[in-house]
Amino acid sequence: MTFLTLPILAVLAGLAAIGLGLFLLQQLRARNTPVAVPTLMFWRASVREAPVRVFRDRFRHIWAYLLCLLICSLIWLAFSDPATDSDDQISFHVLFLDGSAHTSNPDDFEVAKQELLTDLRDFPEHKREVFFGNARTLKILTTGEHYRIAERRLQDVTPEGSVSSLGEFIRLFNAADRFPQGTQLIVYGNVPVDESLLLSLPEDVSFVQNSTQTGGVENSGITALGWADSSTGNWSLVDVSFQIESTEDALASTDFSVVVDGQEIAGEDIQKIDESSYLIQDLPANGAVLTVRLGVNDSLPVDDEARLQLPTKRPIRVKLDEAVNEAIALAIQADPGIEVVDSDEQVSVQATAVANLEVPSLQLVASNDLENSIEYTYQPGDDIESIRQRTLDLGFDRIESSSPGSSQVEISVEFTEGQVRSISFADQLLDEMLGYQDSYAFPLYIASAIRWLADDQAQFSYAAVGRPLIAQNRLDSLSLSEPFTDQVLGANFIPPRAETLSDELTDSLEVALLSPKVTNQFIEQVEVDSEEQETGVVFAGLGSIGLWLTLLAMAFLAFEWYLYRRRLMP
Amino acid sequence: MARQLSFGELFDPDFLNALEAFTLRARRVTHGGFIANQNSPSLGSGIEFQDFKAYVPGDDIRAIDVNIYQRLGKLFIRLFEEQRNLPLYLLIDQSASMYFDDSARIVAGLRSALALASISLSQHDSVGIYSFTDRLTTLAKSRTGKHNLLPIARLLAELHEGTTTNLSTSFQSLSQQKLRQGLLIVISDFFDEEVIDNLTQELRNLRHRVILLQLVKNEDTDPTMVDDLQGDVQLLDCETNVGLDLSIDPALLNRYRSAYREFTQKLTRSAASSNAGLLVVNAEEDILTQLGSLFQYPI
Repeated sequence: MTFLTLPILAVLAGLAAIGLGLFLLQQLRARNTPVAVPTLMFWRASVREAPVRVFRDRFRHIWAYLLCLLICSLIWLAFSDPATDSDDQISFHVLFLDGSAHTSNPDDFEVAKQELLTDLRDFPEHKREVFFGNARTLKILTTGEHYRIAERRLQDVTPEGSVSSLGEFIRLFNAADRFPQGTQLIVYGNVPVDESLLLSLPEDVSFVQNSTQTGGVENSGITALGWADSSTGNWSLVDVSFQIESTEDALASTDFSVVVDGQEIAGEDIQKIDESSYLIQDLPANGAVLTVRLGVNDSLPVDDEARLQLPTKRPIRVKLDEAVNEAIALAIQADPGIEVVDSDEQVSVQATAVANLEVPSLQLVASNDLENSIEYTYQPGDDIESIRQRTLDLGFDRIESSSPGSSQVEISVEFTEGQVRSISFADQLLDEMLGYQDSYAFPLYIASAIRWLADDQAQFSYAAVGRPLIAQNRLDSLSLSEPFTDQVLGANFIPPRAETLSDELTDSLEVALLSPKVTNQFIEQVEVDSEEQETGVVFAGLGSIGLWLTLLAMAFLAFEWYLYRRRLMP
Repeated sequence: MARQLSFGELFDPDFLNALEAFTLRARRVTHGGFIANQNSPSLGSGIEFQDFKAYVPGDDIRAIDVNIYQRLGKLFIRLFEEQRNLPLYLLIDQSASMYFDDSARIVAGLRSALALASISLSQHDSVGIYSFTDRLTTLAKSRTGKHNLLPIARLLAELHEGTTTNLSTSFQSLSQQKLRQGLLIVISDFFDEEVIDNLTQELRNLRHRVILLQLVKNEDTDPTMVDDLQGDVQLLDCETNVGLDLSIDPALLNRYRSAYREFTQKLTRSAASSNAGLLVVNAEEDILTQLGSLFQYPI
């Protein structure tokens, strides 16, 4: 059994207190005072003559009734926990605890948390909400819940090296019109707030920030880390670049180390490209994890280390039919990511249609034998839309536009499901009159087709918190091609925090660096008007109306007891 | 432990001095009053002439009127009203209710008894003292002469607190005693629930002329004068120790007053219908003053 708001000892102590209270009430229960009388004969007669209780009778003791009504009303009002509206402008409080990198200093975060919990006690339960925000926004306390629940829920939360979700939170609240009229948004933590963000708030929403900056503002951080194919053209090697930004007061940005699978890279192998960018050439593309670590202890430690998993690059094994079209063969042989083999192939390229395929194949088929220009056979589970988009992206529109007889050539693509992937390519498309085989798009299409048939997935060249994921396949170096990112991790996916991501298409993706935005904004703290900061304190103690009502009810109860003892009321 | 009052508590010197003056005053004002010498219905050798009658053998020859014999030559004797001393019987309630509270009714009751005995003794009447609770006790059968006043006072002082009241049993016991007809004064609070409805018949069964001396206290009519008699109480009967849980409220107090009023009315009606007298004496006020004012009028 668990107790949400109290530790077990407090619960047991409460039970003991209840037991004691009930004992005292038992002691105070109505007791008949023994009084000796010379005879009971008249009292017995009085009892015998007592009238039967009736529901409706002449109403008597109006003042006693009013006093009881007053006491009960006060108790009821206290139970309903009324709140004052002494400040006409503020009727609701949204408390936001920042747990992003900006408040990642443990001391700062703890101070911010305690300030929030202290203020929380003073706000009426039905007029406040509490949120915790790091990369995501999490509602900690909804209206009507006791403030001690927030203590328990915030007990284990810690800040993390992520972008603050405050901006997104405000944007979503504005969009959904979630801010009640007269809301005061109080932010606890050091998250920088843009002026534009404040301007986006509704007019009747006020903003207060309780900043808890205790340390300095010196900071150095790794703000970019990525890889690209080796500039030497070696397919099995990659180049890695990273960027380090520092404040003026921070230590020298050159104090860093780069480690690949436990082996530190020598300083002479790291080239300085510009003021803040560095390059490491010809690292093996073997899937190792590369770590860049700053050797300083600054105010924001979460951006002092970044990790990147290097790609695993192996050539695709392709077997060419001897009679295959020369243009196709040249395109394949020119692709550094493809190795032509005689056996153990991953993909075969056939000059004619082949039935009962065992391996994925690209087939050149006579136009008369093919109903469509290109026919895809996909396996169950393949994303057809992605294939269609990829096909359209690879220049077929240019076939039409560049063909003198384009009006007679209709490019049609059909998709059918099968056991083995295959692409049937009409030889008509390779007609010299069309000129497609001479276009830039043709080798791209062949390369793309071979990789689709080999099921060679995109790999990531660049990952940074707070920025759209950049994926690279062999043909789209450092591009922002949305189809690929869609295919991998979903539309507009932005890694929110430093972490290891994974999905069904990728084994893992290390996202270990902070965005320059975080690093830079950490330096550029927004100064919040101190007058507004005090606004959050002004409301301390206003939530105790219920307590006063209870005390008043107790006073009236004592008064009633006095009247009763003095026989001034029945 | 049964409560008993000392002689000094009951009959202090001031009371005894006042009693003496009271007796003298009562002798003057009560001539022909309720406790004066009583005329006997029989004719005998008294002082007051009543009639003549012809002499028959056996008559007291000392009563022959010589003048009539000389005038008429026949013997006539004078008949005088025979004067007898009327016995006074004091029947005193010694139940627990009489001893209840600091200002106990028994004090007023015993002082009343002594005052009445004093008057009677001063008129040469005999006085019998009886007490009762649930049974009758004879303290003194017949005492005459003023010299018996102090012994009677001592007898009264020896009374102690009894238990319950049973008037019916006591009346029956008294009737069974072959007492000369006289004046019976019952000194009690009459808090006997069982007998009050049949008191008329009980009184008629007595062969004596009866006077009921009811001892009352102010709190009988106004129970709010009793401390702690408020709120939720458990009333305890001082005689039976039986409890009764009640919540005292104005309505209940009104019903109490109504019940007490009905009790006094019953007592009055019973006394009237049985040709008995009823004296109401407040036990919290001076006894002799109250008795002195009562003796001015025949009952």
